Amino acid sequence: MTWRPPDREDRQVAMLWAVCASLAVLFRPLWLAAAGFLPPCVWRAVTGWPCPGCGTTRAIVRLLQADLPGALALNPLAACAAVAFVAGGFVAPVWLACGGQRPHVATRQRPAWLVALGVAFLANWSWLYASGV
Amino acid sequence: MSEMPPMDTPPVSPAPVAGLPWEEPNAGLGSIFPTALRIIMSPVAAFSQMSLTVDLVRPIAYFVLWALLGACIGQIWNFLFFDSFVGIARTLAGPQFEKLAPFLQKPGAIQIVVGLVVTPLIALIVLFIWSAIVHLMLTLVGGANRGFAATLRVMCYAQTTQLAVVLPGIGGLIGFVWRLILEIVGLAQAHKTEGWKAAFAVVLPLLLCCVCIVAGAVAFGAALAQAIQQFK
Repeated sequence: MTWRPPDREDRQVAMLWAVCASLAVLFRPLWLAAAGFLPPCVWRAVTGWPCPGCGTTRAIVRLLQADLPGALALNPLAACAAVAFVAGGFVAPVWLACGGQRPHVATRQRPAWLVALGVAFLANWSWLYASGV
Repeated sequence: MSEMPPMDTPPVSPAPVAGLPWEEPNAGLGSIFPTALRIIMSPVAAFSQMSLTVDLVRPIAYFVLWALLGACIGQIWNFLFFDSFVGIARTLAGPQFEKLAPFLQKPGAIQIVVGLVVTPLIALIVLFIWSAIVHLMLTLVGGANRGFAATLRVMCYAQTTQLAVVLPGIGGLIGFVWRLILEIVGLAQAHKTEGWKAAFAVVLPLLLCCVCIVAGAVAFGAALAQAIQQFK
């Protein structure tokens, strides 16, 4: 990963990210209320195996209840992504405003990132299967 | 005789990029319809004309307005055809319907207003997350020749498909499919990449959790509506 100075568009994206992260936190009561109405996973009901997203709703609910270990146990990748989304939303605009640079993935680094993401995805799915989420 | 000084010629400015009507500097609310018409009638031309330099606020405002319009129309259909929708749900759910029945109540004025306020804001969160997922996929296949903002712009203008909700009942499904098509066309144009890469970026996240996402999206909409009703 390399770093480069942000442009106007990067700052606008960071601001939008902050708005979305703030709204996501603001709507906490709504997410908690809506989670109770969601049906169980259709994929799991049909095949008996967890899908890659199984446990996401419960993990988000745990996060909203400030239970990070519980969230990580249910779906580690989804929990990390949710934390990154909210934390990044609050950090990104401040970071750029303080003169920080933005990360950039160069073309030659893409295969390594592809492999890393693939491994993370499969490891997460294996965890879901092994833990019986 | 002294030589004539060279004449000062103004610097040649780059040819202005003809953006969408909504992106013109003094465009008002009225320009939303010619923009939508252009995206509906000739999406390839519209997305190739889309400006990649205009303030992001413009496409985001376009997105929010269409989300609001879609929410308004949806609420009207929900109010008018509530009994019909409940009848369909009863037929589809069979014996399970009794469990759902207590939650199915005709929306009142407060629920409608709350729904109209909350829906575009939730749509904004979904827009950001979905754009990030699609851009990640596009990057993985080497099709992201421009930044995240280009993907975000395409997703904003693809919101034009909210127009499909004028068809009660099946409008949402038609809009969903139409939206996927617009996103693929738009990404291919905005990122100057091959169509298959754009299609891969849009379809793969859906295929990964195909059943869950489709079922979840439908259920989440219904769940959110019920949750809003509980806030009265």
